[in-house]
Amino acid sequence: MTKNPDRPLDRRALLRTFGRVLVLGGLGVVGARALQLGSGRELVWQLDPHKCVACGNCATYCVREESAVKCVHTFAMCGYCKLCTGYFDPEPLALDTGAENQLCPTGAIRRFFVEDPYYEYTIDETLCVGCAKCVKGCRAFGNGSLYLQVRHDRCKNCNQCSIAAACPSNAFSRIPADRAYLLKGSDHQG
Amino acid sequence: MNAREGMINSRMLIAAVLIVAIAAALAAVIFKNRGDETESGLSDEFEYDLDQLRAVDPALIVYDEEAAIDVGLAEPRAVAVGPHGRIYVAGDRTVRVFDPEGVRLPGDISLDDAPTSIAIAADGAIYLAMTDHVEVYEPDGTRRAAWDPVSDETRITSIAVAEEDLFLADYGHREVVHYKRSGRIVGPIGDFVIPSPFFDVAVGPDEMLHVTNTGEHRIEIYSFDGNLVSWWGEFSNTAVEGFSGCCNPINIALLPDGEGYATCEKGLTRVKIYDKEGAFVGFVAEPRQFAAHDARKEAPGFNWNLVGLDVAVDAAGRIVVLDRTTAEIRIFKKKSTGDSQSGDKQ
Repeated sequence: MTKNPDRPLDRRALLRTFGRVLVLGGLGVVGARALQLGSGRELVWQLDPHKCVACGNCATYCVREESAVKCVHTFAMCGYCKLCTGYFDPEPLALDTGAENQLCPTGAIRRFFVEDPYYEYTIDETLCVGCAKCVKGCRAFGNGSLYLQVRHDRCKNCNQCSIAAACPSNAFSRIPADRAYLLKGSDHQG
Repeated sequence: MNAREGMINSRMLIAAVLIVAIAAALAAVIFKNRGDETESGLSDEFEYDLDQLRAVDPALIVYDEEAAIDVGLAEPRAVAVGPHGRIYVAGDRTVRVFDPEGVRLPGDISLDDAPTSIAIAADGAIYLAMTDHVEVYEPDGTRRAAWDPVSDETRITSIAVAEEDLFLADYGHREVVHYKRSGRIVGPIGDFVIPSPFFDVAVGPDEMLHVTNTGEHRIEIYSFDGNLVSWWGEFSNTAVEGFSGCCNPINIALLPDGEGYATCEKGLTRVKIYDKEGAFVGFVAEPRQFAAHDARKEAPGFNWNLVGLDVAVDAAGRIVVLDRTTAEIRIFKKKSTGDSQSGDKQ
């Protein structure tokens, strides 16, 4: 039997065609996903610390109640300052760990004595809200060893990241999940 | 007369209302997005504001700016004043020379690598620090010598030359390295607290070594044989007499006849004058005069190798400031007594 091209499709043929398209489309999506995973090209959101202007949007634009963006610290760049300008308020009453002397509004930076006159500073991520106040303090006077990163144990990896949409310096981009962090190196001086 | 002519067409009315509503909705979305673009919505507690610390009483500014000259280098690193008041700027792979008025002189000296600091001897010999070693040039730009690297970890941030001696500030080891001008190494001096890669050394007319111990916010004075003779300086962000932030002053120069110091700071970008005992005298330039420097530093993608100021002083006591960020030499001259008393000039 020959097909008549002018003959309209009946319901059964239409459903059959629709089903084929659906199956082929589904296979295509699954195949592409398998290829992406196989080649390690799954993408995640991350922010480039060299483009970040520490505007504070990361703290408030994340869809999560507590932002997935946190401060991180590259110790190799840190000066281990006694007077860390990322830790202390610009006008501290004393150089001690009193809350009134600390820059961080949530007390998320811990200060440990190493040896005179050096101190180590670490981030308590359960308290950090990603406001970048310490980032500004560290950059203003110091080496810029404190900076922000999207923490992937918290990030939901939204299709459209709402922080990225609000970022004034276009610091956000999607990068391969197998290299999910853009960490500052020791070449970065400041 | 047709009665329908005087009536409003109901379809047109609905269309008009729809158009107005859509336009209002679009405007609301556009302006809302624009308004929120740089507004984090965080309270004042989360703001980091140095404006109050940047404000300076104009009466404390004791110098006037004479000139600002574009040095024409992508990455200028250091400035020095040599014989006849010539101004030498080292950067990129070049040494560029200007006359005392800031007019560029012909004959740049081309280098094989990027210099990090420069010093000019009284006889005109040019000494360049090149990250880990020293190169020596004749006044006409001919290379006389390239010394061996100090060590693999050496990062020279400053060089100073005396009649027979030469000193390097080695940020890598946080120590000063003493050489003879022949190239023979004598040994290390001191143990300094240098949190960021700014570490300066200068030789005074008193034949003493003046070194910035930035992490301690002070300037230390050593004899050439390495003995600490005295020191001065203290931290303060609020009192102008103090050195601000984690680690200042980043660079210094000695005034003619050993009458005091010119000091540069980062963070609160400013240049100040102290007398030889370390007592604050006044500002050469206050932070608002470096607004362009600070604005570029805040821009996305800023090259942090360009942050900071370097300073030199000529025989007439003029302060020559190299702004690495804006690639300018800025020359400041002391105000006359009447000007400094009036305190209304900046």
